[in-house]
Amino acid sequence: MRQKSWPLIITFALPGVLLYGLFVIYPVVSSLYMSLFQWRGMGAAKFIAIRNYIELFQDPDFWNAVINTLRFVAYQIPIMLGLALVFSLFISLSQSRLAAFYRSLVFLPNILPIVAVAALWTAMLHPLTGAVNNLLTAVGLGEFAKPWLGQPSTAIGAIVWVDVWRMVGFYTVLLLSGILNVPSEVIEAARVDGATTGQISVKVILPLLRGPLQVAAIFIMVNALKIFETPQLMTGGGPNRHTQPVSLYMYEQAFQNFSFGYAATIGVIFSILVFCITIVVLRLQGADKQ
Amino acid sequence: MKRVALAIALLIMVAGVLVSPAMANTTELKVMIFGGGNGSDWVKQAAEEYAALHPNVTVNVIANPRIEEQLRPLFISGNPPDVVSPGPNFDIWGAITNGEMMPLDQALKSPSFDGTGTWRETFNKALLDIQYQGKTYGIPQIFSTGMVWWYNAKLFRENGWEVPKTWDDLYKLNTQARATGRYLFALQGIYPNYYFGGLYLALVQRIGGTKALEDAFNLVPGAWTSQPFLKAAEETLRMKKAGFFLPGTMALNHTDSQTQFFLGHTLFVMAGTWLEGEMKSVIPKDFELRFLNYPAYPGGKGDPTAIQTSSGWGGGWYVPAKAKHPELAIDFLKYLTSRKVTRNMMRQRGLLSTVKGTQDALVSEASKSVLEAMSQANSTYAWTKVNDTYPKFTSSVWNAYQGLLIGDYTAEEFCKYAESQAEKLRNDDSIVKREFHF
Repeated sequence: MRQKSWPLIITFALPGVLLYGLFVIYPVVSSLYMSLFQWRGMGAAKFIAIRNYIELFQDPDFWNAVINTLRFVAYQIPIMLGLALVFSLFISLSQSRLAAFYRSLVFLPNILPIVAVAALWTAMLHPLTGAVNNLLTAVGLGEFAKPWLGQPSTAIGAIVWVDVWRMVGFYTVLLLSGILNVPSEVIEAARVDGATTGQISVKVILPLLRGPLQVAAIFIMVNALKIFETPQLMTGGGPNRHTQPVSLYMYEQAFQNFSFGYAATIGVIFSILVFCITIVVLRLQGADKQ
Repeated sequence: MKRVALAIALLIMVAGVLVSPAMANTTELKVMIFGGGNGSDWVKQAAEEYAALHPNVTVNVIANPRIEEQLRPLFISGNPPDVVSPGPNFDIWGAITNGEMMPLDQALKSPSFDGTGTWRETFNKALLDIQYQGKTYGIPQIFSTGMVWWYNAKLFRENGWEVPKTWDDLYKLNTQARATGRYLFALQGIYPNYYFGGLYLALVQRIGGTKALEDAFNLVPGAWTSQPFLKAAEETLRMKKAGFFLPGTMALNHTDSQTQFFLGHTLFVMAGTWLEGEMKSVIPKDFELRFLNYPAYPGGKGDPTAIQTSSGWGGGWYVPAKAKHPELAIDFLKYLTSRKVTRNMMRQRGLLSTVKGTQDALVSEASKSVLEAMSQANSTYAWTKVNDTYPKFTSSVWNAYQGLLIGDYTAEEFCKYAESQAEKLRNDDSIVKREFHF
């Protein structure tokens, strides 16, 4: 019986295996291969062995991009998780008739295209005509008006804020589903025992939300590691590479500097770094569960 | 009902038979161009005229500000269009050195469309310089300056201001401008290539002469840390400290900063001759846009009449080596570079051209002011050739120049960084080097 089922298994598995090979395995192998060449994107490629790797490890702009990427991760995880948690607890515990409206409102930016969001916030943060600076000036806080995207001290924060604004609704809904899974008897029992809403949130719901929080943290980490559109559209990675993540540096090397081999090298090394980070995070989670 | 359907089917078949021979004889010429400040309407108009002159030819013009994204896969797959003008973001140097473009020397020896000599004689000889290993690969029909300075003559006249002749005059003018609430410049902050060319290299040339630029781009050891480069970096910081730049300028893009200029909030803006066409919709009717050559630097060795030009490589016309209809492509290019079409382009876009005998068509006063300065200039330098050749190197250095302006580097640190990048490029034998002479 088992022997007879093999042709069927192969028939059904083959399309998936072929597609996976074509769109996942082949690009990975191709990138590895291309990283050994100096290639301008057309014409003959010149084999230079591991020279791209040697250059990469000595390239301060690459390490700057790695640090920027890690900064995006480090800023986004606590801010996004914190806000999503507050919003989800507020919506679930408010017992307001408007809870569904609040949920939709907070989720709304998530359905907007990234390009539209970036354009909107770039206009709002414009140093001369932006709504943010105009508002600050109107309420007498003109000294706080800044070229938000044009100075290193605020540019990365502005991008993080825009990503948080856009994505926090998604994580709010994710955590909200976790909160709704908390048995209502547990919350009721706490209320009967005289616990306040704040105490219920911190001492009852939060410990039971560990799973959804971990999932949300991993999602945020993965999205922050591959951040591209927001810095590309809002600052182009500037000023002077202060908001340039690895993905944008790789794009610059390939499509602006026409160093496709070097861009492939960046991809390979960064994939290894991300793989290592993922292993560490999964290990930590495993240890946590034990 | 069945009969009606049969009759319609028969009619379609007969129509197909009648039409197909004509269709089969029609050749489609595919033209792909960068949709930027130089515009594409005049090309589309010329394409229609050319098709009218050649009933069996259709010319399909595709214009896109991101045309390089469409061109790259077409070249890689060996299926390029017949004619391209790829714009500034396409690796034209890589395409030429890799044999992707057809040498046009033979075609340039053939008669021009206007019938007054060879096609080569159509152009101003000195400007026909898209060359590699002695062969001509591109036709730079449009002449553009580099990142030169522009001002509003009316504003200067009304305020009784003098056009600055020396760098010291700029400081006096800055005081006068600030008294009226204006600044001298709004930089295109997020695009450092504008002010790297229009400010830094302009300063280097005025301080150290064109030779200093040649040495730097020919990667002579120590050139980037030499006195003209260091002094130009120091002068940049001095200008910043003196309040030359509009606050918030580092967050502006090119259209933002240019708009500030046309709104009268700044006295100057740096851009090429495409500026007028690019900003047409926001230029006030009474605005008197004029070219201003960079002021002379006190004690500087540089020719004060020298004008920064653009290499024009990205804006040139090319016939790919694998074009399907190369002869037709060349014939179309001859028509496109004819005096009639060129004059139309100059009238529509206010652009300057390399085609001889077309100056009478120049209606733009701004372009006329460039032409006047060109007639008085003893030399020109097209530094963008370096960017065409070493894009990675130049983008590193102009990002660092942005860093200088935002306080990431001191003048010395900036020059050392640029020198380290030059050294890295010099030692990289995988990159084909090129000799620059301005």
